[in-house]
Amino acid sequence: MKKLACLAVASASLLAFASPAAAQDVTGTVNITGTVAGKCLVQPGAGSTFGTTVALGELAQSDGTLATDLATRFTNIGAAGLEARVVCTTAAPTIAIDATEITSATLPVTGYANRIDFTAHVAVDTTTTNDVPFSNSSTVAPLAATLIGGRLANNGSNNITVTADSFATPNATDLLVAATDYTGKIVVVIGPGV
Amino acid sequence: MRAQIKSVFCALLGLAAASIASPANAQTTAYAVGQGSPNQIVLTIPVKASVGGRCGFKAGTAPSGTYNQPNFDVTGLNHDFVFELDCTGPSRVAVVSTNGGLKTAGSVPAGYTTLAPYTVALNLVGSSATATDSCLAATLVTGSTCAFLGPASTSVGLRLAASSINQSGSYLRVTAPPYSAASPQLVAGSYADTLTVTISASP
Repeated sequence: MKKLACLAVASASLLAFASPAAAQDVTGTVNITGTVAGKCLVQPGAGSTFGTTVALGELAQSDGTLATDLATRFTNIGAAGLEARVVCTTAAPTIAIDATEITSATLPVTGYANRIDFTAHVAVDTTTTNDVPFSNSSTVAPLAATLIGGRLANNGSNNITVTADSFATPNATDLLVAATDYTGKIVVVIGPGV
Repeated sequence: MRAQIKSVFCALLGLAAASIASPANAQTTAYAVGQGSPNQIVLTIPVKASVGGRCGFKAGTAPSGTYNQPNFDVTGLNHDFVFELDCTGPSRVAVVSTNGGLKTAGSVPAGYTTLAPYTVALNLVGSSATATDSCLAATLVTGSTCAFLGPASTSVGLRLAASSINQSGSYLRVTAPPYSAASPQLVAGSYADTLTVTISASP
């Protein structure tokens, strides 16, 4: 037993004296934290708006009633301006649409019209589904903020496309009053949701 | 009594072996007075020692704390963690990032990211020299390429080729420009990363 103790003393001493003193190593720890808020951006440029002006030109046919090709003209004239790339940092963004009829300040009499209603359509690409459809007619209340149903696609391509159709006067036989101030609009709001 | 003397000798032998690590001498027995001869054993114990360089962070000044930047995707990042070295000779400082960037939990949607890159700069001030370098946090994870990727050792880390005692001006700086225009897009959430800073003497 004593021999064993003797060996232990010798070994411990060897370890203690045979190694050089260790350098003093110490550690510091820093934490970096931050947040990214829910938001939607128009890319490129991280803007907040997109859109264009669609000048439809002559709205009436030669007989004075509403032209029948306004949906096609809307798409062709609006062209790239009717598309946008919008990204949201959130997983459940929303969309709201408000289509306002095309009107003139010139008041009509019976058999005439100064109002053209239409339906606005917005197709939205998400990360899982292309062309998720939403719409609003100028004859009804605006579409309130509605869940799009997925995170907006962010693949470098446009993911919002606006179209319009179903242009109509209150009566199909109405003649449009002559005026140069016909205006309407489509407002699309993409929100981050919650 | 004889047993006690043997025990003392045993301890002395241990010290002798430890100090000179030489081959064991032939065993000699010392006897108690009146019980034999010799009554003592003389041992010569050479003692060799050195004083290693002291190196660490000055007490109370190690890099520490939390930098929180709300909406960092809009504002970017810019913060210095200052510290002071306490090294009597050359030293090395190294850094390890836990996440390789600011990270938020959750899966990564296509076209988006949950990891925000940023830059880590290290600046060391010594009595007669300085050292500085910077790396992306992404290169501060194990197995990556940053020149001051830790943990620090005598051969790993940004080397300060001078002593540094009570020298101010050393810092760990984290920076990033606004992320809004970057692609892919950061997802909303709370982001975090931890930088572990180590120091070692570097003779």
